[in-house]
Amino acid sequence: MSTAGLQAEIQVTRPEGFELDVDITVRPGATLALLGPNGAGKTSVVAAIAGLLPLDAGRIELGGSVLDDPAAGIFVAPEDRRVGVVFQDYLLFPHLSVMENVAFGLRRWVGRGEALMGAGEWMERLGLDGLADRRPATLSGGQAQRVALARALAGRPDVLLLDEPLAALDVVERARQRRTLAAHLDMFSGPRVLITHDPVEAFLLADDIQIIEHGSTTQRGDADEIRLRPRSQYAADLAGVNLVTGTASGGEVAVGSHTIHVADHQVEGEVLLTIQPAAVSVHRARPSGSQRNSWVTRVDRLEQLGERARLRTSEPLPLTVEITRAATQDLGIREGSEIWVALKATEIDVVPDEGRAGRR
Amino acid sequence: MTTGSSSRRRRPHRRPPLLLVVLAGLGLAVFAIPLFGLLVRTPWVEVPGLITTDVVLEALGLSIAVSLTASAIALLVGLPLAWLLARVEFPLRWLVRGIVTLPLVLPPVVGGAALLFALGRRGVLGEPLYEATGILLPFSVWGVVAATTFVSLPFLVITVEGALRNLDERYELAAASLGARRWAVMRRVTFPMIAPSIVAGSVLTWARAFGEFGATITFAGNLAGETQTLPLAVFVALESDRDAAVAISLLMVVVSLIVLVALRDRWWRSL
Amino acid sequence: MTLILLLSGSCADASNTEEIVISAAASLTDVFAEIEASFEMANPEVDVTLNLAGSSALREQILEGAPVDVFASADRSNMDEVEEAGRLVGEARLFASNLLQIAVPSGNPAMIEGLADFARDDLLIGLCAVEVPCGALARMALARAGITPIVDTNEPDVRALLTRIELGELDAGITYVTDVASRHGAVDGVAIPDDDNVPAEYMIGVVEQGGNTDAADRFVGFVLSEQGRSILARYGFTPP
Repeated sequence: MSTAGLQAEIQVTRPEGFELDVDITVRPGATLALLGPNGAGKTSVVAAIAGLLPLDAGRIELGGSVLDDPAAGIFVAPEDRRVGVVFQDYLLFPHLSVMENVAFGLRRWVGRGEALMGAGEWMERLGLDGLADRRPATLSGGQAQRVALARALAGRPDVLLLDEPLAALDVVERARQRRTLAAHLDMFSGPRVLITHDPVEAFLLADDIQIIEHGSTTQRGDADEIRLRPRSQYAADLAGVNLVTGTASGGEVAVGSHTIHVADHQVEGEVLLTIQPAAVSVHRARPSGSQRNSWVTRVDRLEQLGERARLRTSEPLPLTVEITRAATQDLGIREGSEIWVALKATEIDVVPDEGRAGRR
Repeated sequence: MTTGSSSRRRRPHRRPPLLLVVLAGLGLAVFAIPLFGLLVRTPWVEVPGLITTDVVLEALGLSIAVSLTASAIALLVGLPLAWLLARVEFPLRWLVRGIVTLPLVLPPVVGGAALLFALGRRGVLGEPLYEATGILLPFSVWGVVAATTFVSLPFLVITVEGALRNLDERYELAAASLGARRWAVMRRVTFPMIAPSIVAGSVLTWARAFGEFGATITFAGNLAGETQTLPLAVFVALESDRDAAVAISLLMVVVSLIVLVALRDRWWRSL
Repeated sequence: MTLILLLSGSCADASNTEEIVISAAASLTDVFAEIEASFEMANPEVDVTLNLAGSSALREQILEGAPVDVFASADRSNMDEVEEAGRLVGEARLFASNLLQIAVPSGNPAMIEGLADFARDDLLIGLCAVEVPCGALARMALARAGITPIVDTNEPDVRALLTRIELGELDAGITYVTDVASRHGAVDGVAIPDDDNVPAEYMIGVVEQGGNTDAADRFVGFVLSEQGRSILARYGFTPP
């Protein structure tokens, strides 16, 4: 396995009409998340790297070898590339057992017996023992996702491409698999590219995030940069989800010196809180309602977006809050104004933050 | 959709609608009535004697050998043809598809006549072939194989082509991403995934080959031990010995049923 | 008697047409077509339908109850069976004879000279199936001549045999004189000596289950008449 990373300049004209022009660089051991609206071209990027979509112009280099360079007349066929792909609906071969599925990619390197042994090892690492003889159709969503990952990893790839790996799972399962996926990705020392439309997933699993809209990159950076300085409406919408880290104990989460009350009293330890901008209410004086959380703060930034207004609060807990433009006028709010914010405990989503603890 | 009677209990299994059952019953009758006629006319006591004659046993052996050979040839050339039609865009593909379907539409006798004009001793291709090599298809068992393959090959091609079209091509892309070359993809992914359809198509092909009459008698002729398959034996027996004809027909029905029932539901699902 | 509205070639009074079905042996195809035309001209109120097949197939149909008015068979035995089953009105009559002849492709490319050639392995030889009269008679003739033939195909009827010969797919076969005559130019004939030859006897009879006995009688009468016999002679049949 090579230690150099992935460098790609991808230019493709899609039959649907739009031009894809995206540059990607990923270090070994790093995860790049590609975020973007549907049809933006994210899947095409993965397809190009895998060799399933030839470039019109540009260049793809992996581990020092060139995979695709139209100008130089170089194109390496997909079966000759060392790319591990986890497809959106997994595409596990229905006529083969789980073990045979996982061993499939190994067959290009070793004979049948050794391939099955190698497959067994990967299955153990990903917690799939006992499933060796099962058929893909009998697996749960989470199991199928891990089998797909094991299959991709077992083939000894130089790069790992994941196309919405958790999208097929229901919300509860997705949250559960997110954590294990993070751990599994760490088992792979090469570069990884992850396509997702779920910003929580991107923030949790990726080191870098690249936002692709209408075939081109609109922003690239780590999670903080995207959240604090969004450069497009899409990024702003993403940023609009407040993600806050803290330490939970008995229903209270310590965020720095501030305490947030949450509805979940069981969770303990490092947690990630998700707060929707629209769930925060704004008042001129201390609110008298049933919200467990309320505090005084200032308006750092105020943005009018049509009928909506988005404001950024300051200490003790900076949040993005969304209210109607009418409300800003009724309350007489401007940048710098003092306001009270209120937030119900039940409106806060709490998730244990294993693996990426410390990210703010 | 309930009709309001509050005393009606909801049954876990609902009976099918009456009209459906009646029409389906008529459909079944289409098959059952002629079979019934055959069974009633069967001279049961004489049947063993009638079907163990040399003529009949030769015809049986020939029918089985020819139908299996035709099926094998169909697989050998039909699978690649089906793959080409399903996966490769070539000019006039629509025309080729039409030609492949032709034997299904043509009366078998017309097919046999066409074979004669092409491959007979004075045929367009047959004459040069005969002059050069002495090979002659009519009046030989290979003529029967040719006629039988001609009428039954379309079944395999059409079934398999349909299955390939319905197959999600992304599985093959997944296999390629895992390092499998083109032949490996076909061998390990494509064809195993459509295996039930291949079997179903082969069964249809075999069945059509086993029952083939018009093209055989027109092209290959009728000679006991060489070209007289079971259907020809029945036809000739009808002229003189009705009991023998019935007995041989019964033999064909039994052989067919054995093969078709042995494969049962497992393979019908993908037809 | 059923009154049927017919759209036939005859200029008949539509409301009074009788329809009769004639089951005739395949070898009578051409001659009976002309007999049908002549009969309909003389009897405009009758519409004739010809049902042509091997004599044994026709016999089977009649025994199974097919609504046939007249049966013209190429041999005695098929007619006898129909008679014994009680299906005839009155008696069957011999109306023509047909001699066997060797048929060869135009120009006789294999240079067939006689029945002896039928024992040659290097030739492609065809006969009618033994179950049809043409085939049975041919084998009798060969037996009389002391020849054991090496046969490549037993065709189900004489027309099929003729077609193969005409196409050159067979070197020789045994058919009737009338058949060779009917394919004049496309098929040549080689005579079979009278000693070996076995004439086919053509029988005709009125069948009861057709329902039009009067018209059927008139048809049979026409066949047996001077006019009928001269038509038959023109096609190569010998008078009874």
